[in-house]
Amino acid sequence: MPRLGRDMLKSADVVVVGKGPAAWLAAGRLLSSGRKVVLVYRSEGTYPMWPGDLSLGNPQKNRKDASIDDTGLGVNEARTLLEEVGIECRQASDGESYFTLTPTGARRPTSVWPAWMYAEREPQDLIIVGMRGLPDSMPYLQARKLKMGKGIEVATCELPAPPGWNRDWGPLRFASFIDTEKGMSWLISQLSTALAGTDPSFHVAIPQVLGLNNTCAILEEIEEQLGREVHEFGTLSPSVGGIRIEQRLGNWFAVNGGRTVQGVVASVEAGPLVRLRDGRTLLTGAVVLATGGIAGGGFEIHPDGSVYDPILDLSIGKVDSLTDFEAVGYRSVGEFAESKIFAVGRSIAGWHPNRDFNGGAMLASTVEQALLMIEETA
Amino acid sequence: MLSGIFHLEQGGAVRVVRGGGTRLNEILSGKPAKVAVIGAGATGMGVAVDLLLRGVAVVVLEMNEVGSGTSGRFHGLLHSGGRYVVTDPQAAVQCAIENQILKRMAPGAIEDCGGYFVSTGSDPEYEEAWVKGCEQAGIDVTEISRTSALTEIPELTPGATRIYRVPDAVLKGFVMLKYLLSKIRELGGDVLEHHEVDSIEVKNGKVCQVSGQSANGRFEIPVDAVVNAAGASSARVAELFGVSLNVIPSSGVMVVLANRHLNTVINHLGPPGDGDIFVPHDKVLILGTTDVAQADARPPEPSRQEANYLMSQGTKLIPNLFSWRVLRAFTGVRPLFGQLGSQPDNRSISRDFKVIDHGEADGLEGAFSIVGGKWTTFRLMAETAGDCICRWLGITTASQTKELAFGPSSSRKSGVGPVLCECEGVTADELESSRNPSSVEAVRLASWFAMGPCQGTYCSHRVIGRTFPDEYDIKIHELRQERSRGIQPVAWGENAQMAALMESVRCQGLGETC
Repeated sequence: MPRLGRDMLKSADVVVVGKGPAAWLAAGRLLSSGRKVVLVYRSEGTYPMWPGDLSLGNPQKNRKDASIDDTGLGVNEARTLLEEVGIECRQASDGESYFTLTPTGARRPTSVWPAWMYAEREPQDLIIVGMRGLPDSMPYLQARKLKMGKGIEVATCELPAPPGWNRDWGPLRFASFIDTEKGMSWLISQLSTALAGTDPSFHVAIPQVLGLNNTCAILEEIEEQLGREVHEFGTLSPSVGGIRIEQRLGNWFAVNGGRTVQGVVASVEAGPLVRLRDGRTLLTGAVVLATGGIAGGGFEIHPDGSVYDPILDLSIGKVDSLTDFEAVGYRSVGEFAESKIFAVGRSIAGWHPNRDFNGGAMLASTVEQALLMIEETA
Repeated sequence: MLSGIFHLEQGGAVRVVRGGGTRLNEILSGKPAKVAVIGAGATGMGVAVDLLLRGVAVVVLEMNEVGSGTSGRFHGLLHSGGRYVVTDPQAAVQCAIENQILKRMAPGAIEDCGGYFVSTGSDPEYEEAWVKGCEQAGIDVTEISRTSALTEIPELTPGATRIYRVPDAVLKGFVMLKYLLSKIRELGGDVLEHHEVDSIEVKNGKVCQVSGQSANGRFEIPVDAVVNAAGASSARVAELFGVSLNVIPSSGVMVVLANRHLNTVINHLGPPGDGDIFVPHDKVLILGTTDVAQADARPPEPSRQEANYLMSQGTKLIPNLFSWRVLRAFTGVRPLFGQLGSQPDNRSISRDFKVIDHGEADGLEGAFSIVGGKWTTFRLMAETAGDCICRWLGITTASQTKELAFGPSSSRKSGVGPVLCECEGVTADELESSRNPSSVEAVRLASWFAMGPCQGTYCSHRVIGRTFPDEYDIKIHELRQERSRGIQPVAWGENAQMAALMESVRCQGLGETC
């Protein structure tokens, strides 16, 4: 046991472990409510993999903690945080489903999404703008799949590769270029040529590369110059939408006094005391584990299929196939509440966001539950 | 439609009279004889090249794709022969000779990295027999000091007692198959994929036509001879001859490790066993293999238990093996020729091969089978089969495959982009160069997309979205299934995390059904 003498100062009200969407949501909301927060992370999180919307799925299918009705839990608070850090959002009203568009033309249900993102309630006439030289731009495929049996018109056009383009340009490089003044005027002139003469009632969807920092200004400028609204669909590897959100969250967090510490958490001991592998310790009032389950690297799977939690030194279960992955994890947010340890996000068993499209509900609800419990124990 | 020298002829059985009679088809095609080879693996394509070089017209019929059988599913070892010197000296000698020939013939398809046999002192008698056997087989063996071996390969077990260097090498199977394919076409022959032979017509005790099903409907090809080189399926093809063949499909599991941790082949010096070979293959390392007899010719799906077992066996040579990131597991099926149950275990069945003239053996003229053997000895197999078939056809030209030279290695076109697969550097214009690909599998093998650390998470939709946009959903589903079958058994450590992320990306980022 570490010596908890008077020389040992409390580092934080809450230590959040992890750097993915659940960790940021927990850390952001805690900081926003006036807590002293330290975010400890081992490596980069998964924000750069997601387009950045919150999908709530079908509430009836969501995992139900026996004691909690988690329908819509924490969703408004999550949206409030996003807007607080400067991301204007749209939200479907209760009972409504909206759909975002993937680079392969699939419609994916969503509930809360950044204003830059293309989302529709019903299939509608659409112009898809492709970009030559962008790996995830496949307008023909998207149009073909979107139209199939839906009685809508989907037109496509393709902008040329930007000046200076070479084969190594990924979405981030496209976005950085369009962030510049030169890039923005190039885009607007190309768009006005490509869209000239098209039906102005058609919505326009374009790959999610309209800048990293100036996205809102770029979209406003497009609207002013072209007289029509343009929205983005998410692309992958990396996903510029997720990066935008993480950057804004990170900046806001730092400016408002949140601390980030890079290190590997070796254990959480009584106190709670978070011990890093390099010997540093953080004494805190509560710990939020947002370590991402198997996908986030929070749990280890051994060759025999056994699943192990290295921070709490716990055996979590056993898996055989990939479909078992969702079934293993902590039983509930408050499973370790007595030790003032709370778990959020993917580390909670039973959620199946891949199947149920409720990743947003999973984040919002588990973080909300953790915050309520921290409130109670404080 | 069949192109080139083969035309769909109605009832046009071409008579070839044994021993130098009139050959009507000489007039028709300018070639002395027409042969259909069944199976476009190394053996079948090798036989085709051998026959074409002797002036015979050849078409290769493949029910799936080039290399989709055993030739595309092996560990990549070009044997020095060392593995077989004690248990199977005949195969060892063949390997030793062919190893040298292939290195000269196709340097672009072979990485001459050398190999080590590492003894852990567990079986001194075997070791003594091994050294003697290598000498007899003419394998160039040099013992190196334990210290220098451990310096070169720090991960090698400290239990290593003696280490011998042998001329093992790495055979890039798909490069070699590509060479063979282009040689076949250059010589006027052809390889027809997705052509499954289901019947062989016989006239007057002699094979006269093969027919079957292709994507474009039925096909019928008049031939003078048929060569069954169907590998693990050769027993099934032999049934079309009305003949039964003792081909025992023997499956082997292999594990692909995500990094090239070793720069040479490493074998355990002992009786051939499970998990005792490491073969560096481009950017990855392959651990092989098990040896399990089965009834089915198709490779079974590897299980977590098998993969785990193979890895445990591998720790005898590399104690720290479980700390290396795994990528996937796969199985291959060796078409061993022998009597099931006649040997104590599969490993005792000779890796030697056999060419069967069904005219002599079963009274069916013009039918031949070639069974058994190894990738390493495919050229010798082709030569031997070619000799046998030509003797029957009355062709006296000698085999010329020994003098062949392939290459230089056709390095990938430096694409102008964009880069679709970051792991393997595959660009969009590379796909355009393979216009009208027959399948996703063919595109994958030609470009190597989806083979790297992300196993296609970020590139599959881009490649299939461009090559097969009209069949996107079904094709992407098939590829995801195929990839995940190989990942599942080795979903542990970093690989499990990658697999979980992959599921999320494809379901949540791309909206695929999970």
